[in-house]
Amino acid sequence: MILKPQTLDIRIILHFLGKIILGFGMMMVLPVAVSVIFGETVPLIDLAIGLVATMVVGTACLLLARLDKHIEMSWTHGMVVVSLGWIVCMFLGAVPLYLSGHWKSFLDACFESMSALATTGLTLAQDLDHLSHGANFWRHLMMFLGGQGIVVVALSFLVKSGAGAFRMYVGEGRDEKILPSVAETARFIWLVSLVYFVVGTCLLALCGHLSAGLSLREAVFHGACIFMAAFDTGGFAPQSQNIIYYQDGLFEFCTIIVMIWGAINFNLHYAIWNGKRRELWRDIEIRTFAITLGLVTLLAGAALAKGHVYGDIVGLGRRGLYQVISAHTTTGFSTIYSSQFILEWKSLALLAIIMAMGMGASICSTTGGIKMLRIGLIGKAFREDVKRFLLSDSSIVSTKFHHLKDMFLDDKLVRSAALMTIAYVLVYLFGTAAACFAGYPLLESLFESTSAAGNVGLSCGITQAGMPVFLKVVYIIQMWAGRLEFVSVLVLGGFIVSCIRGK
Amino acid sequence: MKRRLGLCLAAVMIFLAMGRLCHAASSQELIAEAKLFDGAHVLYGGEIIGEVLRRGDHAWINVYDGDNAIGVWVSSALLENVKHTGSYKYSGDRIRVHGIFHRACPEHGGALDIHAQDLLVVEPGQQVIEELDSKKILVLAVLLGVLICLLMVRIFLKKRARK
Repeated sequence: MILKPQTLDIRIILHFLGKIILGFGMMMVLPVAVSVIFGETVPLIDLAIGLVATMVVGTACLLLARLDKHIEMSWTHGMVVVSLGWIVCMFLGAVPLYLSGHWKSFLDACFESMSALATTGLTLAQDLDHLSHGANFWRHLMMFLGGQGIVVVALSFLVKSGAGAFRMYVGEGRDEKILPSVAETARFIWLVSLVYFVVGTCLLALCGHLSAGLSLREAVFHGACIFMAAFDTGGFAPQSQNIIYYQDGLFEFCTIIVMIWGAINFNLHYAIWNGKRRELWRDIEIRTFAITLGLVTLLAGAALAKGHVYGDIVGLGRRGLYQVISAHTTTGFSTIYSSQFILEWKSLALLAIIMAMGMGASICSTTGGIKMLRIGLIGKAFREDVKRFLLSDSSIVSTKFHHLKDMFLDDKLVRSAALMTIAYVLVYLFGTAAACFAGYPLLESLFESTSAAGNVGLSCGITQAGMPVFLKVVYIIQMWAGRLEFVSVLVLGGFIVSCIRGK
Repeated sequence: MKRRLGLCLAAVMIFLAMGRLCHAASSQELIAEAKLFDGAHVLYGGEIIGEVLRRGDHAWINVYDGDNAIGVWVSSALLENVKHTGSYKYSGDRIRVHGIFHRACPEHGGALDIHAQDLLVVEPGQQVIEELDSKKILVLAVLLGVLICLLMVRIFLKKRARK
């Protein structure tokens, strides 16, 4: 029998949802400040409407669901709060974008907002090159907030640490605490991110100014935006040409460093901060990433070289390898035009890019996709099984791996990794089927679907304002479910069913 | 004035003549038929967006024709008449470029670009005047009012709970 949720359950969910919305709203002050700095009046009003509307919704939730004493959340509450929080933040984040007039419909603005929050990077913006600095900064800031986790924002400032906080933290697609308390972990994530933000922005601004030729003011703005998009493996850029705009090899190289840095597990960042640099080379995720990156580079490189797509090794590196790294870190920065993937790249190279997008990078980082730990564990399980067949029946085979500490491979771990991998593959196929239904060819459909569900952001041209409405909705769901790693989304589905059919 | 007019007319005539010699192409055509146009003289036009990215005696400009923006490698001397580039506050100068198109430029790391030989400002850009929408200000005022009311209720309820 399905139990109908009680009023208290709804109040708990609304209460914490309100806190998440308020945390999200507080961040809208930053693009307002950017608009003031750049003297943009109309965007200032748009962003102020977004900010006040968010605060109204957040405060209303808290008023409607007052909790007189501290109540601990259950797993269901935590998961529902997170998955609902992301949807509500998508709507509220889309308000200033839609008001700017650069998105054809509110759905398009919602698509952009979810793409930013889920660190995907697919865009439906119109005339992006004339978008205000304030609205453009908001797109990139949403990427930064979504990458670190909008729940992490709330946990850092507004929610008391405890079991409930941990349940929300897990619901957001992270299952590894860095420090004993979730609030401390959230604050550490922000500390690391802000330090990297300052260093990365300076690096990219200097490079943009001295090497790419941007004016100092624009170099700082672009540096900040590109850092947020690269470190959070998002893929937005302030201009419509993405990274092509800068026409600079050094700038591209700097973005590669930031992309790879952002694709590393936050636990490894913590280890590096504490001087344990050896962890970088010992961890299964880094090793798997190095192997898979090598393999997909080899595949794409061989296909591009065989087809003489780029004349020399520099071209191969800047146009070929760059997309591979961008895909594998699930960033989505691009140094070629979308349609060039289909028009010029050979099928094998495209397959390599799709594989890279599908696999993703580290757990507990800002990347999407299946993730390296799961791929590594499945690979180790295969090796163990082959070993078992080769050795005598009496021999005991055990496999050790290093992920933050030395661990033994057990069936439970492999099962969970395999289940999540299957879930991702099914979601990739679901999006592919939807695009095929809309009339797009199979390869393009697979490419775009993997990019959306893997939170990558590379496009082969399907994602446009003119694509069918149902496909936009499918991609929004894919981005949302892929970022939250399905569980909290499924729990929300279950919760809605229990509200309707429960007794 | 007459001399300027004569020079402009001459420039337009030269471009019209070039139009007969080389292919006028849109960004979509250039990207879709890149192999066909590779190494050919092309005429490409649009609005300069972003900034002029100076590199020594040359510069990069990105020219947007309504579908895509394509990078144009141009000598600084040709940019003397370029005054505005497209951004939130400005519409950029509309230009027409005659140059050699590269599908994967060997000089610029495989970039799809045009090396300009001539550049003509067809329509100068200008400052975009911001227009405040009174409806938006009204919405903001109403929302602010609602927020203040909600915050007052919240403070009142908190005080009552403490008592």
